[in-house]
Amino acid sequence: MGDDLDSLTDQLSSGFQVDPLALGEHPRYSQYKNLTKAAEQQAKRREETLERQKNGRFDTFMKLRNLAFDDVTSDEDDEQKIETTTAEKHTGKFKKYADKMMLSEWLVDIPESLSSDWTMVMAPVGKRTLVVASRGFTVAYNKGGREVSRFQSRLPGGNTRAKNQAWTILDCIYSNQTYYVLDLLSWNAHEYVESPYDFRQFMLKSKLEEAPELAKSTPGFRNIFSPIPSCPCSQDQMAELMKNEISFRLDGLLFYHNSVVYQPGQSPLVGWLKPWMLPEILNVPVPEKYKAESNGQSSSQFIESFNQKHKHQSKIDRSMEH
Amino acid sequence: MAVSAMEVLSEAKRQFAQGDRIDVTLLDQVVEIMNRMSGKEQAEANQILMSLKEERDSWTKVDAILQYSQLNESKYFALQILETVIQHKWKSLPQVQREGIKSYIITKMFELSSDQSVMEQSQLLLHKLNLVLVQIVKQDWPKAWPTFITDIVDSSKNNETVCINNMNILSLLSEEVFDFGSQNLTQAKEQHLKQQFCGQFQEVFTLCVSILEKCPSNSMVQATLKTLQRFLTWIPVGYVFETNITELLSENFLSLEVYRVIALQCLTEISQIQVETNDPSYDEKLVKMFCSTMRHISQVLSLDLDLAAVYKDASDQDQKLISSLAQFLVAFIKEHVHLIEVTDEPLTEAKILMRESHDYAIQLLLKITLIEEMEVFKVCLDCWCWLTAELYRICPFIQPSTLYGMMSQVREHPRRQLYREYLSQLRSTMISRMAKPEEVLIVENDQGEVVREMVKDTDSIALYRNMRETLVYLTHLDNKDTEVKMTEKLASQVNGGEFSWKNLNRLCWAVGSISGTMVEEDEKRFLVLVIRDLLGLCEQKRGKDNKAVIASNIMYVVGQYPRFLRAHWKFLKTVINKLFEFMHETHEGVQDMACDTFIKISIKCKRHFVIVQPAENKPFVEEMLENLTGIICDLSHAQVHVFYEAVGHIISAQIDGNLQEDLIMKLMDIPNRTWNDIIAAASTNDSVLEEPEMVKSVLNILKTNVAACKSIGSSFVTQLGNIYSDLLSLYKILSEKVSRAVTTAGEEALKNPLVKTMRAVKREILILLSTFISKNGDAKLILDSIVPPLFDAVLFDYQKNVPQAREPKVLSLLSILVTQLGSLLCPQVPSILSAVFQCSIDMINKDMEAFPEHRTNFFELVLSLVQECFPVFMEMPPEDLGTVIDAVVWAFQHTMRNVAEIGLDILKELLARVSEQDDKIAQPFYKRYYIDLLKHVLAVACDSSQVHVAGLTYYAEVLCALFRAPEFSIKVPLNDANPSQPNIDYIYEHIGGNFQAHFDNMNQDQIRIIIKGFFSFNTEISSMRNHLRDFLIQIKEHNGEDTSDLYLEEREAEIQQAQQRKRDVPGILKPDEVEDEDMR
Repeated sequence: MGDDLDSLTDQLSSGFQVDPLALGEHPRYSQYKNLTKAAEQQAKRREETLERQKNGRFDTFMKLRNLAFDDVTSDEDDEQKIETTTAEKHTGKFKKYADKMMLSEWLVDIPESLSSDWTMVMAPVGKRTLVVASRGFTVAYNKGGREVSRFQSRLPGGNTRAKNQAWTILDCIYSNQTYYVLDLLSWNAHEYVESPYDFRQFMLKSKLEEAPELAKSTPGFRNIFSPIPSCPCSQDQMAELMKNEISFRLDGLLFYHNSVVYQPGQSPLVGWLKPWMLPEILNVPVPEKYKAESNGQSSSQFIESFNQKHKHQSKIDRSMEH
Repeated sequence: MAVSAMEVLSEAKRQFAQGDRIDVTLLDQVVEIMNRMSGKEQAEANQILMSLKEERDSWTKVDAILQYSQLNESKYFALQILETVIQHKWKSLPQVQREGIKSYIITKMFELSSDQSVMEQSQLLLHKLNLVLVQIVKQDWPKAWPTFITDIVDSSKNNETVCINNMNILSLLSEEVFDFGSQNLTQAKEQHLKQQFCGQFQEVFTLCVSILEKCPSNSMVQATLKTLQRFLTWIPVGYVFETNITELLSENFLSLEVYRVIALQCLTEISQIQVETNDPSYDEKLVKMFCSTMRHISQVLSLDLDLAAVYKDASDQDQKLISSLAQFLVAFIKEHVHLIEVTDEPLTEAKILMRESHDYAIQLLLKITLIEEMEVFKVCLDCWCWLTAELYRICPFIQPSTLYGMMSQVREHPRRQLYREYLSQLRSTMISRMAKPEEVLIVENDQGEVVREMVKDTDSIALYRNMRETLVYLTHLDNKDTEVKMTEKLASQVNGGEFSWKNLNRLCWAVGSISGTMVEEDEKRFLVLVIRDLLGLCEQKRGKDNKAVIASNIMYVVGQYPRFLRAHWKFLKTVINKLFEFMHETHEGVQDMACDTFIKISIKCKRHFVIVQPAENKPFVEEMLENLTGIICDLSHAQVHVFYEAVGHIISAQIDGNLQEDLIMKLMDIPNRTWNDIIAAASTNDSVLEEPEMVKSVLNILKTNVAACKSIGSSFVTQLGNIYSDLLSLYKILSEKVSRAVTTAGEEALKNPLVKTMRAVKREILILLSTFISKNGDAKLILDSIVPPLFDAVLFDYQKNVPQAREPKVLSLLSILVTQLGSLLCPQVPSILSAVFQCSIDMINKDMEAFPEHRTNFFELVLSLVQECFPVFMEMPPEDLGTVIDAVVWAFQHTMRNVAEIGLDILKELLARVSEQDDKIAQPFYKRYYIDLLKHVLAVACDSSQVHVAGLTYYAEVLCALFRAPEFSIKVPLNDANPSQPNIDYIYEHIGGNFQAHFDNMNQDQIRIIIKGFFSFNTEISSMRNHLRDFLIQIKEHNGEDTSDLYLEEREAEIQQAQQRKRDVPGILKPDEVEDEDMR
């Protein structure tokens, strides 16, 4: 009888999902095993994305304006656009900030140009948020576009004293009153989304250095903004970075292609690995403390069960079908 | 037409106003306009007709209208006039005129009813004539028209159509006297008419039976059966069981389709008669009647028929037959089923017939239960619920479905055995038709906020409760079979055969409804099976919609079985984690479902989350709170509030104060951080509080606090303490901002969204404090720490604000304080009253509607003050008390039901309290206010439209209290002009005079008896209630000189008896009122 209940509990915790994409064996897994083919496909996707990026006209600027300012008119425009482009119905007023962030995919294959064209970023454990400072408020939205927090910050546009300044938008991970800034979308009304990643990072670092008060918590400005350690993807530099003592709990590692512009949604030009996978996948050594997290699983096992559990969806399989 | 219509109308208006004779053609035109046109013309025509009807002598024109009018509508209108006159002024008309009207009506009636074709043409008119005649009968019979019944019976023998019409008249009379008698007849009169009817019934009955035996014509038999059905509810049982009527009905009329329905309805009435004799011949008759009925019905309805399918396409007549049949079966089974159950050997021929009829009846009812028509189903359900309960009570114990199942079957009670097979079928039906349980609705309230509400008592909830009850009994009767049936149904969902959302929902509601009926071990086995299958189903089905529905059902089932959850921690934990996962799933409804289930489980299993479970290293609630941000980040505000309330329940289960405090602080950490930021920003510059977004997030924080406080209760004190002073400052600041907005922009400002939100924040602060205070029993803490700053911030603010910006919640918060603190608050009452009393009164004394919420809350505050802090009222200056009394009078004059009720409640409380006081306090009160109060209450009680606002019982209670006072409490002379006059005499005289002046239709005797009744019934609320009702009927009737049929003497005797009953209670009279032997 006890076994009965245990197996029922297992069934409840693992198989029970509302999201159909989380069903059964994930298609990604088989591709992972068929490494060469998958790598080929993935490389092709990356190329195509880069190409599209070069040729494509991104009128993100106007979109960002709308993100930063709650204009009734622009709101309507935005809604119409979403209405026509997305089949899935979003609910109510949250749609505006929904799905605006650039998200990663598992870096299960190694891009050829990894060491020359990519940057590795240490991602803390926390909540991914889009921080919009405008009209005297700083508001953090989650991936779904729901407002999670509203506060005063020293970001340009982000407090009542600075409300007439223009706006700032950052892509952050929030943890313990700290916003770890992953990416810069705009600063003081200057747009950076169409600039390549390495330029955005350079600007971000300079801006944060120029305003050291952002890193200090004071009454009224409780939340702080902090840069995140990163390095070019050479084997040595990666190994070196992993040895660093860090103030936060490391969740995983993000890999950005240096030329990727900021685009909403999953991008093949942004990769993701758990720390303990580095030795297996990239042959980069990591300190012992990270290895324990694997719980004895191999990367592939972990990725599979992770995908199932988190209803993680990848764009790769969809485009592969074409 | 439109132009001339107005001309016609103005001409009519002129002519009708002149009186004398009436131009019937013109009237016809007006009636035509009234019926055919719309808009202004119609309204005008209506107005003309109304004033014509109200005219004093309009009834004198009725004959002319009936004679000359070409329009049935006009004639109908004329009869309406006549009806009103008969109802209200009959007795005041001269004898000659009464006779004239009566014979005119009778002649007219015969005229219309003696010929078949004429009768058919003027159905409607004839019906109205019948009604008018019945009104006359009610007035004249038996005194002025002793031969009425004989007249009717005799005239019926002459002519067939007249007979039919007479049957209709009799059934109308039966309705008027026995069904609606209590609405428009005084008690004495009603009783007399009933006696009269029963006494003379023999003649009518003989007539009916002779018609049913001879069957002269279809329509006559039908009319007779219809009338008989009315009679069956009240005639003495001897007429039913000591005559051949049951045989007649069950043998002769069921084989013919035309009579089947009405005959069944008669049989239903017979079945419902409660026989109070042990005479076995009555039982025999019933059994015979039932068997014969079943025999006839079985010739029409074979059991092979798919009744549910047939019913769907059947004609109205056939559907009616089925529903009448259901009613008959249900009535008979509920009343007499024990007569037809055959449980013992040997089987005689009669018993075999009985068993066959019983079998057939139960199977038929099962078939009818399958019909997809709610009303029919409800009738059947009623019977099943009763029957299963009855069978359960034979042996009311939970029986484990063990290996010995077979053994226990053998020993089963014979009655249970008899129904075993049928109940098994019934289980399937109940499971597959299970109704929707109570559910939480998400609705938007008046303030535009999204709130959650439990569905109020509705039809469908009642249906669910009955079905649930039936299923519970069914499970008790054979839990193994219920289990088998449910798992079979589940299997057919999984196999896909019957899968649909509707079917699955119903099945899961059924599974959820029998929680607790099995022994724990059985329940566990059953649940594991069900949940496993459902999980399998969820994995197997594609599409988010399907999965979401299945997931909701799984969670519903799980939430219904808290005993199971409490016994299996690992499972419970997994369920909760799964719910947390669902809180991120944006598919429609999933988050709501997750939150609802979470709070449901939290309430039921709270203790299990605060203790350290085996194989865990800390209580689960701590884990929850550590991951709080991650869990709630995708929820909407309203959902987050539910979540907080749920966690609050869990925290309330922690009994260690320090640990609990720690948990509360962790829970409130997120809102507190934002709160502190906002307060810090506002303290440097309060203009941040004019940012709409800022105010909105304050509102949200407050709602979160309210949600947590609701479930945590008094331990919330630390959290409240942390924010209390800021809370009140915020209240003041926002209030000032609102006031400023109103001063600069006028009342329009209140419609401004920002101002609205600010007021919402104020309201929420009051709600938070109300919630806290109502949950906290620590009077000292409230009195010392909460009250002083609260009054400081809130009371003064209320007073100085513009009326539109005053928060009605202030008043309800005060009521809560008063109730919670009781007399401890007495010293503060003057300051409360001086702040809110006059300014609230000024808002609501202009009319009866404005500021409805203030109105109710204000009077509720007064009520709680009278209840809890009564001495304060007796100590206040007389002018102030006068204002309070005026306010109370004002309250019960309202047409808003709850306000009127509160007003009467206050008055009742006030009178009760005063009567308990010392003479030196009580007597001046009576002297000053008693007569006024009495007059005001009677004025309202005389107005029948006003009385019904709060209901007769309320007034009866108040009148009892009022008339008790002079008899037992008032010692001070009330009559200043003649202090030596006893108070009771003075009151007699005083209100007698008032009644005389107001109701010129009533004579001295009537008024005397009415007032006498008020005094005599002053300790018997239900008698007082009936007395008041009689009074209301009498003030509408004109009685003329002859009052003999008002039965005043009988009434007076009854009143005397009531007075005597009071005297019989030892000590109810004071020694000086008792006539002792020594005094003679």
